[in-house]
Amino acid sequence: MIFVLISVILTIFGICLAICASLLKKSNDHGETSDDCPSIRHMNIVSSERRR
Amino acid sequence: MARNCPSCGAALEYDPGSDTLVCEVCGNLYEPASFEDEEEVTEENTPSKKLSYKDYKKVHYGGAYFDSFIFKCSQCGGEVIVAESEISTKCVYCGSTAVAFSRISKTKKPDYIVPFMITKEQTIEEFKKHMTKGFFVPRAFRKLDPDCVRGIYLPADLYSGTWKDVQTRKGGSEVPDITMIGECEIEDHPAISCSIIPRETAELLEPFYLSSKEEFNTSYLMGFYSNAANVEETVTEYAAEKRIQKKFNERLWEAFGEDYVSKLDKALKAAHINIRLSEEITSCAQIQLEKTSYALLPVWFITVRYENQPHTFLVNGQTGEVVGMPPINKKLFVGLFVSLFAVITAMVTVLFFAGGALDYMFDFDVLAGGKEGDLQTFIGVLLFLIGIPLISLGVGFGKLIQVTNRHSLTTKPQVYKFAQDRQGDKK
Repeated sequence: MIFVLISVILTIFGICLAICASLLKKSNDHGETSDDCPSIRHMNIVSSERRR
Repeated sequence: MARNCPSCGAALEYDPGSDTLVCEVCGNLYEPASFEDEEEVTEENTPSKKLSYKDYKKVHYGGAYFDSFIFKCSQCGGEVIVAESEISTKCVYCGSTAVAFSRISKTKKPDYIVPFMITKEQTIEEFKKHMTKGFFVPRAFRKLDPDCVRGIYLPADLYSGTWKDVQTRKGGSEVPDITMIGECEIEDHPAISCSIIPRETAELLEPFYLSSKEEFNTSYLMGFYSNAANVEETVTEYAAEKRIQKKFNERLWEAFGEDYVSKLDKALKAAHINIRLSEEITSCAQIQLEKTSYALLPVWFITVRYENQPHTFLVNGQTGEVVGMPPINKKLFVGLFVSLFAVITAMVTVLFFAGGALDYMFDFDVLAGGKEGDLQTFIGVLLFLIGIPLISLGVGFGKLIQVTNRHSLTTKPQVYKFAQDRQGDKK
């Protein structure tokens, strides 16, 4: 029973920490890796599928 | 050496807003390109052509004991100390820009320069706009004015070439193999070659649009600081390759990925087949990348001192992108964490204990090894009870470490010292 309790409490602790850290990052962190990469030019893409 | 106004002789400064050199005394404006550099490189200022910069230092200053030059200001005659990798700085006596021409011509003269497009005022405005937004930013920090704002041109190696790759995502009996072939040209990909700036920060400052680069002319340095490259070419080449590879792969799979995944997902669901798409991708890349030139990129350094700790924020001088993380309101963070923890614990307590869900989920006779003594079930439950909290704690602490790492980039003493060591006026 105690083992179950500790397990549940630690799980909640980890979840809360993850939520708070995510909120903190979203709120305070400035500067995201941009999707734009202007040095890549004229990209040609060809795709194909092959069934086994 | 400063650029002087042809009309009144006062020092000129480059104005990012008007893309001109401005005389603050008589108000005249001049085109940066109207001043030629070549005429100003004199023998008197130039070290012997046969000596490298390091050799030159050894001969003249005794090598390891000195890592700075003393440069004579052309404006007032004062002696200005120029650090090892500085190209331009400001005279501590008269405030005019001092450009170490000998350094530019003998060490590594940049081919191009991306001039500042964001003015100091716009930079401060943009910075304050960002800093007042954050929920966890301490109130006292929001009201602080920057301690100093310095425009520094950072050196960057530019890489060009071609990139071709054939990538295959392996399928299975129900899922086809997907092959993506992509090729592109790389033109002027910048990799910052200044050892002080961490690689992560340099990447966050991107993109720099090299299409608006100008032929290097020292006129653009007037009013700003600048540094020469001090990183080996192999380091910048590796950084450029990694960055391009990441962007190339993203574009390659974005072009087909979403459509493919959604199409395939629907088909699999319709057929009631529960299969996860393979993550295994084989790659056969053909890379031809070489350094074609060397440029200076514009970056604003903003230093704010909070609780005796300096925070240095970087702003892309071309796009205005702010990079950095302000201090954290620790009381608010701990308060939110405790409240959230209390609420979730209360909810779980009610659900599991009062609602009897715990009895329903776990057979305690099994846990105790009673009745049939089902060992397999016991081990399964035990692993579940150990595994779930471990995963949860791992994710939680992982995210927290990510945040603290990002914050440590802003408080890095080297970056602060780099900005602070630039001489001249504070703002």
